[in-house]
Amino acid sequence: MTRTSQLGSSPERSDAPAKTSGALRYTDDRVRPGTLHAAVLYSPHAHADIGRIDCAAALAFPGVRGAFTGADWPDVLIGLYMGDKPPLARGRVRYYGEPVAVVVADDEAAALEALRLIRADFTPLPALGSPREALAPGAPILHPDLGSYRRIAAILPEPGSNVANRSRIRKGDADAALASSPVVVEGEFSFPPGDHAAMEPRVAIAEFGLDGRLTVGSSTQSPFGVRTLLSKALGLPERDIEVIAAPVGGGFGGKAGIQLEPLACLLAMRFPGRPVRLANTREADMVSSPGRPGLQSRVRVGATREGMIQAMDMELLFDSGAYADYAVNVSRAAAVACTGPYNVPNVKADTLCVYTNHPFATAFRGFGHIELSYATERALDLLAARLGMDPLELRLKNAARPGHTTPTGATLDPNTGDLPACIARVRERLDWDAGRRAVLPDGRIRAKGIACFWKAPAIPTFTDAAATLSFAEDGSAVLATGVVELGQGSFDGLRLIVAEALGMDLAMVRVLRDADTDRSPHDWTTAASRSLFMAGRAALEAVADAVAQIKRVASAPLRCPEEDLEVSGGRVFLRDDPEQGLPLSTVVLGYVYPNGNAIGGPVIGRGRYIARGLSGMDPDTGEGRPGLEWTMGAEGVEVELDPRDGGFRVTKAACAMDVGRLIHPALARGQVVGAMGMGIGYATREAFVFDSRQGVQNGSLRDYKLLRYGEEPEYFADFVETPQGDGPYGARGLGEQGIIGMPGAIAQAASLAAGVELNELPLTPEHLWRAMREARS
Amino acid sequence: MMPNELRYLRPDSAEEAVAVWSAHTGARYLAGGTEIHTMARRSASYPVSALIDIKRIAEASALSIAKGRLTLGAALPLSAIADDGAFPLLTATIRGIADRTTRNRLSIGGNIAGMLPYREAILPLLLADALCLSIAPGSGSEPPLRREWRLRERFDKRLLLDPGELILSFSLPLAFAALPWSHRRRTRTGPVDYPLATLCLVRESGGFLLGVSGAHPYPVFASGADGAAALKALGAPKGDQRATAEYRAALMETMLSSALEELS
Repeated sequence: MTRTSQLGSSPERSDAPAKTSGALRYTDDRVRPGTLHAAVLYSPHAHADIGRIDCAAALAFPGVRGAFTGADWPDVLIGLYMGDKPPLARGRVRYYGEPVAVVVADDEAAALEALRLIRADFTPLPALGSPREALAPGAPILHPDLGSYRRIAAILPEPGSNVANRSRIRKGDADAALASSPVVVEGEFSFPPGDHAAMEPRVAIAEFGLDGRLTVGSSTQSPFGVRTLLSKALGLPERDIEVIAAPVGGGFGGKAGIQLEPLACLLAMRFPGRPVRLANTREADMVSSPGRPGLQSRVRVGATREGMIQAMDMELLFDSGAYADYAVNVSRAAAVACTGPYNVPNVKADTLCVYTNHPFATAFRGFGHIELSYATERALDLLAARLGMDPLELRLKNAARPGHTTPTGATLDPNTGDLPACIARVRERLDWDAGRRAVLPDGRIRAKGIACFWKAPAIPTFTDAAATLSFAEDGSAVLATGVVELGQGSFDGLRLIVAEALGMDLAMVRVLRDADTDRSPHDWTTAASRSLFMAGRAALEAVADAVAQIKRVASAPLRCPEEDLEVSGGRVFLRDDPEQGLPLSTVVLGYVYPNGNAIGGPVIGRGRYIARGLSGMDPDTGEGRPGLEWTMGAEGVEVELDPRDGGFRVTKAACAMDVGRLIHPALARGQVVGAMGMGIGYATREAFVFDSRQGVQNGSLRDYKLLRYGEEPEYFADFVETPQGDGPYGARGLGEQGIIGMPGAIAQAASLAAGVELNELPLTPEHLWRAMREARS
Repeated sequence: MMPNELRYLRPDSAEEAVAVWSAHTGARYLAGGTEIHTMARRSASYPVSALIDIKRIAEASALSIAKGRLTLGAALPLSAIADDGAFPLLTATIRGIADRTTRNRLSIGGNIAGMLPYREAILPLLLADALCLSIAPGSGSEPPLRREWRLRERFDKRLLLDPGELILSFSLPLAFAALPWSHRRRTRTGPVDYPLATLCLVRESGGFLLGVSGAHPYPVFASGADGAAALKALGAPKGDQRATAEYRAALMETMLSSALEELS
């Protein structure tokens, strides 16, 4: 019996009706009667000593159950890799929007009313507005206790400074190679921090049961991670904590760490038996909860006159804001991939995560790779200009291929994607060879830019996934994983993989939603574009396990060896005589003979996966193999610039990515196009604007503008398929990658159009206008 | 957020509306409600105890043409006025404000009398020397006072309304709507944003009428024999987090020259 493969088809998302009609219930749609509501007082200063906080009047307000400050939990420190953050500021606030006090009341309105009655005194302190300021001699030290914070070994803080992590890459001899390179260019490139702006603001609803167990519903990408971190921060064992992740309304990394849960849990523990809801407004979500890091960087590149890169020497300074959160690992991930997807024999890189008085930073789509890509791609643009070489040719010439080594010295294996093929597709899509710059009849300038990217998941060496496969009476299969749905569509990809492996109609396969640490199989985190890969591998093993069980049961009534059986099309049958078989519905819950005797019992397939062959990095040289699988690609844009006033838009955006194997083309395109759109926003507008004391001036969607549908360019998403040998059906991760090259490609095109190198983002019309005017004078 | 206790009142006449306003301390007139909602969300101290919905008042929701004049009810949604299209410059100006979904809620009276400094919809009305019909509570036992006045006379950076005064409608000569006009609007980045500058230009027999919003902290207008003179009369723009004064000045020059080109 042969079946045509369903891989590569694009069935409708199984959650489309609920999502498009608004019927889907997210975490904050699951508030039970009797829930208490928390409201938070946020710091109006970026850096200040806290004086007296008087909550007496708030406590007296009708409906208020409690008011709390940092002093209520004097020893609790929260963190991901490093515990550096109190649940409420203690003694000092370190960023504008930091939670200072919280009121718990019977309803939200009472909590908000009472919040106004809290009197808090602050004495403002000088605020650090950039990594370079924070690294300057004499800068205030934001975390004097840095040396005593609990942390994991891979993070390397420098106590006595504002450096939360320093990762080093020393490959070959960059100094010597630069000294002997005939062509050397150097540039500095930067951008401010910003926000994820996911559609769903963060929320946590915690209940401390009378049985002493803590249950937390959270808009999280990482229910198991939150359980572990809560256990560490609160001193409760994991067995007493349950974390439930409903579908999430967009994460982009911003919900991958620990966020509102610890404070919600601490409050819940004060009110046993009553749920406590802590929900962000949009404004709090933007400023008080973490956003993405900013960057200051310096890159030197040495090359031959023919354009072969000899060496890179770089310094990437990540603006982590007040707390380290995920940003310490973001800076580490940037070190792993620091050169971009190019063969660079000699590399010297220091990537630093630096404390400032900005809102703190966490993971963001791309995880350090947008930052490193923007810096290295801009440096390659300087090199191309110096050499008088087409920037596409320069990239093609230096493209990383199997056999080359990464900055950490890991060899790119034969599973490595085909970057030259990706470059070729973008070249075609943008009609690159027809010319990169043209002046239109109305005076506007059209220009093109290209950038390449690579990314491997920045994950612990023991990152895991698991899956179980069970069956219903009708023979249909249900896959359970610990993956969280956050819009990415992994469930539909997993469904296709299971249906393919079982040879079953898609309608007969379901994937369970709602990850729950009490019920779901363990899964590291839904992040790093690894869910389809890892949970896909676990699902395949679960299918194989279930199929073996099905064959064992069926072999008795079919009176044949198990190895003669095959499962496909909803049946188990003899391979060489397919008419002899049984429908799965008669086997998966046990087979019943005509006389009533039964054998077997419910089939439950088990599958698991753990990252293969990963190792840590040497603290002095970075040597190691921290990257699982490398997804590579190229991106290009066409832009139009009005030189009179800087008016600027992206008119075309093309991405070609080697995804190994395309499982669900429509979802893949959705991820890539969405990522490109996000990259356009990143490059052209999305960033915080700070006042002179580092207060956020645009902390609402009124002032912080995202790309709108009407501004989207024409998109091209192309896929190259060089199979990933160990990926499910050859697939590799693709969720984040489409954003990585966009800022570099857009900056290159804008620079070409404007006739001046643009080394800062965002590229607003005024920024362009000013740069052109300065270049003229 | 909105207070837990809030009265909602929906009078059928303008006289009733102002009487209800007098009877409720902290009452606000409600048409689209976008600003009330935003302010209440943003600040717990935004005072509102009662909302007086004026959309049932016929004369505040009418759009009519009679005796050579166009009359626009103050409670009309911006999108209804833009879709009608009787005053093309107003249509163009309105279509620059917010997005379609929001314009379905925003009223023209709210846009003009609201707290935000932009009030773009007022520009075409100021240029047209529109009349405004309003009603205010009478003092003491006196009946409510209706009056019609020139918009320009009570506009100084913003509309100068008396406590409890409710705008019912605006009217302007249709002949003005037929004059040659041009509209330009620029923002910091994408189109759905407050203007760095919105420019309305009308050519009449004696020269040009020019109105600008966004560049100064309030809408401004001037007339001049030529465009440059009118621009000069508006004074220097201001800077804020969206753009510097310098950039706004440069934008206004390019916008004006392209608008003048369109009218030449």
